[in-house]
Amino acid sequence: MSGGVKTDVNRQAEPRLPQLVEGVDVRTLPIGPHEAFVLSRVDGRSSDGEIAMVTGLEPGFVVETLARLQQLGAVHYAAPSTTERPAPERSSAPPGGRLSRPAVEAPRRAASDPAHPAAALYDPSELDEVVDLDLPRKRAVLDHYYRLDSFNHYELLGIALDADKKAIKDAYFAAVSVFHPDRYFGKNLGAFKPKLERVFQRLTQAHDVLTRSKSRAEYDQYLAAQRRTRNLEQALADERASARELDEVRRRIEEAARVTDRASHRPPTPTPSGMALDPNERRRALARKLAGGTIPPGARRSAPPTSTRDPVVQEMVADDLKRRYEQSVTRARDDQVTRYIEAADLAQKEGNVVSAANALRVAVTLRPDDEELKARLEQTQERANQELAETYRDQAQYEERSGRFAEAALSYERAARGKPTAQLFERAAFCLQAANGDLRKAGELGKRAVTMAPKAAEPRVTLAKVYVKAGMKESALLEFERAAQLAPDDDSIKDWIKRLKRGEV
Amino acid sequence: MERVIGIDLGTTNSCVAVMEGDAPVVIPSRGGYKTTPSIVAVTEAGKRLVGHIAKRQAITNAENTVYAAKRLIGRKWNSPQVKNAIMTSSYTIVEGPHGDVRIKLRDKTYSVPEVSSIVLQEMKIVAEDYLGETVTKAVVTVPAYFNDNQRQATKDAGAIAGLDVIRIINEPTAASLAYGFGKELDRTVAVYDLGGGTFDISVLEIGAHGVFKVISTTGDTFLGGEDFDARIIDWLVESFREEHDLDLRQDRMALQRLRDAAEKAKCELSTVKESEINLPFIISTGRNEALHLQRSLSRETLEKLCEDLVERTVDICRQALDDAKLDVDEIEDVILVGGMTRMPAIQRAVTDYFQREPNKGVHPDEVVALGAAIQGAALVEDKHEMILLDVTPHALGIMTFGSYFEELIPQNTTVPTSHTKVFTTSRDNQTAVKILVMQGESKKADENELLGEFILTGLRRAPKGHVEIEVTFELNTDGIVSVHAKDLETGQEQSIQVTASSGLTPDEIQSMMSSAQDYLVERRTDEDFEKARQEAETMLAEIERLFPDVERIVGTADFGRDAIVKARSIVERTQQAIDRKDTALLKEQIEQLARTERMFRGVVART
Repeated sequence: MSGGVKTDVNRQAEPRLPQLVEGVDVRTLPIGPHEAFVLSRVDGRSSDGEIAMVTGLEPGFVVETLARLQQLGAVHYAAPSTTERPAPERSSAPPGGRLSRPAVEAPRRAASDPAHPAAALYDPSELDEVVDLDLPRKRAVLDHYYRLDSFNHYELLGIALDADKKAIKDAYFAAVSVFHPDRYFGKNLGAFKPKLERVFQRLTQAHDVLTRSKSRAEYDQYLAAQRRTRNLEQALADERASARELDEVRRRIEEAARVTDRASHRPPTPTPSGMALDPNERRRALARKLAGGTIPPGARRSAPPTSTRDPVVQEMVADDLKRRYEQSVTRARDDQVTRYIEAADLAQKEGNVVSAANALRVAVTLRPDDEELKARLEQTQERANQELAETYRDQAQYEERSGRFAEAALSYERAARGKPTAQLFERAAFCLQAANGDLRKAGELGKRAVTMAPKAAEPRVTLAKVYVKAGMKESALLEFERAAQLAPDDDSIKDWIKRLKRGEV
Repeated sequence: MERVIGIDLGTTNSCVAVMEGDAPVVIPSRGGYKTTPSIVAVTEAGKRLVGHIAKRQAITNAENTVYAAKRLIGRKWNSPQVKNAIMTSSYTIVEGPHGDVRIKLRDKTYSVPEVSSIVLQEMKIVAEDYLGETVTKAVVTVPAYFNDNQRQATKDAGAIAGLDVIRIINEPTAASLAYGFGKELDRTVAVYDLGGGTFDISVLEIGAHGVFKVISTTGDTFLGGEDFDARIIDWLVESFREEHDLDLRQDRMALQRLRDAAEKAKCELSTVKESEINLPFIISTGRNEALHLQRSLSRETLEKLCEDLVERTVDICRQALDDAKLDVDEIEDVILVGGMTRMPAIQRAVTDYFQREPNKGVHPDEVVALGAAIQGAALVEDKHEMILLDVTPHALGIMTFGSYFEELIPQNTTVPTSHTKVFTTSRDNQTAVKILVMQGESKKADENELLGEFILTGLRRAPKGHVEIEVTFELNTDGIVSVHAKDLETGQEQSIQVTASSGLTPDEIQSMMSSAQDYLVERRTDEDFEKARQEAETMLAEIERLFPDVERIVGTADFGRDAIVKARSIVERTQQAIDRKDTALLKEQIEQLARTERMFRGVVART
């Protein structure tokens, strides 16, 4: 019942119903298992919130995923009363007619074409521009252009992750023979020309990166790091969910202790990996055991299983019941703790430190006095942070080398969060100022680096550069001078000081 | 569809080709030559000469004969290359009105693109004579290492010659097109192009779908056959000075003769081991005593004289492979381009370095023009599956504070491409910023080539470093650089298409175009008149020959006398037309002459 009410609420708040775009080959989409799972629940009748409920995933994540799927052209939202775009001219319609309500939403011409999964990403009227290109070519250009940002180099060239150099070149040459502007020399390409050039440029970038073994190895590492941070972040998001999980576990323990059979009720419970047994089955078994097999299924606590009226006996029975209840609570809790420790062991064995830490955290909360367990959690947590930090550092280094300073600054900062070292803070500050990002924040990062390594020149130089960018000449000069003392042979520092003093900077 | 010709505008020789069906062919000139010397001269009578004829008269008219104008094209007056050319050229180089270079021939100064346009116009005429139709579109090649100003100047030369240069392509790349076009190859090749004045090396990948992808290109625009000639000239001048204590360089005529002799000896030494250099009466002494130069040059000596030049090309090859991130053994073929590659020492050096025999399948003098013709056809006709992916030979960027050069598009980037960088202001309350667009490899801005500049105004008043300006460079397939600057806060933006400067203003180009057109009309009229004159003179001779007989036969009759008087006046008028160079009148007279001739023959035959 409550579910029904909730649905209604959701419907009022978010009346959007995601629908599947027909004819989309899901296998061609650049998505992961989570997105595919969400996509599999889209039935045209469930709202975003309902999908979140049936998948057991965070509502925010579901909304994000659906937005991405929409962007990819796999999902669209049935338009409510107003369409996003007025339908192409219908001069015969009465003036007010369009405003009232369109009879039926016509299926999007391009979106239903299985060969063009990105069709929903652009306004189909772009295809109407009169240029010297045929429709398939126009589509090919737009399909590539509008997916450039979501594609990695492999996806863009349409090749496997283990494609050899020859395959990369062949794919590139084939693409070039379609997307090089010279193919259309002297032809009117209109708005397609810059798009064509942009696609060509990205293809070339992909080719250049993937055909050089060193840059390819770096890119592969970057992709792997990106995948890992994404997975780890996902796991950390589970940490946020662990509060929920804890409540759930507590409820379960209580339930088990109350010796009630609620086999008919099945709460959906996310379980840490490694818990293979069906929790309902376990719970039922536990319940039977605690009940000594005497209580018939269907018995309720509102109908206590006693008929004697003797107060002493009643008290004894009550004490006994209380004792037995407490005992069973302890046992149920121990049971859960053991299960979570088992899960942590397994996760650790699989190298999934983050999951292990999450499982241990639940266990520690259930048994707060266990110092040994606490120590293990701390240790694991530390390792998880370090692992994440290292992955972020790898990612950041690649981003920095590619000149994507804003992204690099963020990744360095995340790395520094898990593994606070002067160098990581320094790089974060450096990249942030290089990206012309938030200079106040860059200053703070730089200061932390300086505090952590007061004898190193580099953090001071970086901090000074931040000051220069912020127009704080005096502070910059001070830092440069300190840096010059620490690294007296560095001419570039001297040059900075000279230029600052002359007012050239 | 109008045909596009391919022109290899060389330092010493030029060549024109066109696509015939599926294969490119070199177009021979009326004289049967497949290449034309890139030499322009003005005679004492003010007549303009191009090609072989200009080369032949070069000795006697050394001061008014321009060779190797390509070395000067797109250069600035104060560049070291121009300083060097002033020292070694027999013609007079003067400063132009825009810091550019002009050449003085007789009483007129010519811009360098104008001189080059004369050669291009000649190639255009050769093609038109061959095709029997007007040609207005061309693909012209330049050394890969040319900068944008040099390319633009070459384009301008085309425009002056009445040619729409639809694309400028690099010479080594063009050579690779001729080498691999239509063959469905799949290999990595190096093109070693040592021409008359420039050296280029390009590494390319030829793959499926007719794609030719340049991986790296580098070179030296001041290293070529002329440098080899100069070594021989030095050697000759030096030995002459030792012998006679006279400097032959002081005499421009002697210098021109030395130049020709040096080139001839160099070419001979590619096939023989020893060459005689014999220049009688090269100079006269103060006492009016004529001196001769006679020397024998061996191949060995020549190789020793030029050893370092050959070594320099190999160093540049090494650089190209470094840039391409390839090892020598990854190069699957080496193509030799340019007449200089006939020199055995060069073939040896190439074979040694690349560890393989260079390809012998292409003609070193013609292959570039053939490639240009292929590119021209591939661009305008849909049927040819060929795509050329070329790279920018120089980095592009802007000048930043302190005269530093900040690179935006690196060297060897495949075009089309675009790059963006954010810059900040360098002074407090700065409201305008000057964007200087430059090209080159030096960190110091002033060592690079300035392509253009513009000013972004309306910046927000703020302390220095607080205003962010996003600068975007775009380079399209036509080699045109667009620069876009945007104040990230106010959204104020400004963009320009950087038209590299050839040193000429559009007005100047326009007026040069029309004078080139005038010349063409004049030249065509000359040709027409010449043709008519020859025809008329043949008939005049015949009529004169028959006159005494005709007079004897019909002179007694009245009608005969009339006819003779009439014939006399026709001959007279024809003579007048010839004297006045009146082509129209001459053509009219030719008909009457023909009639008179027929009549005279008839009279003589009847008796």
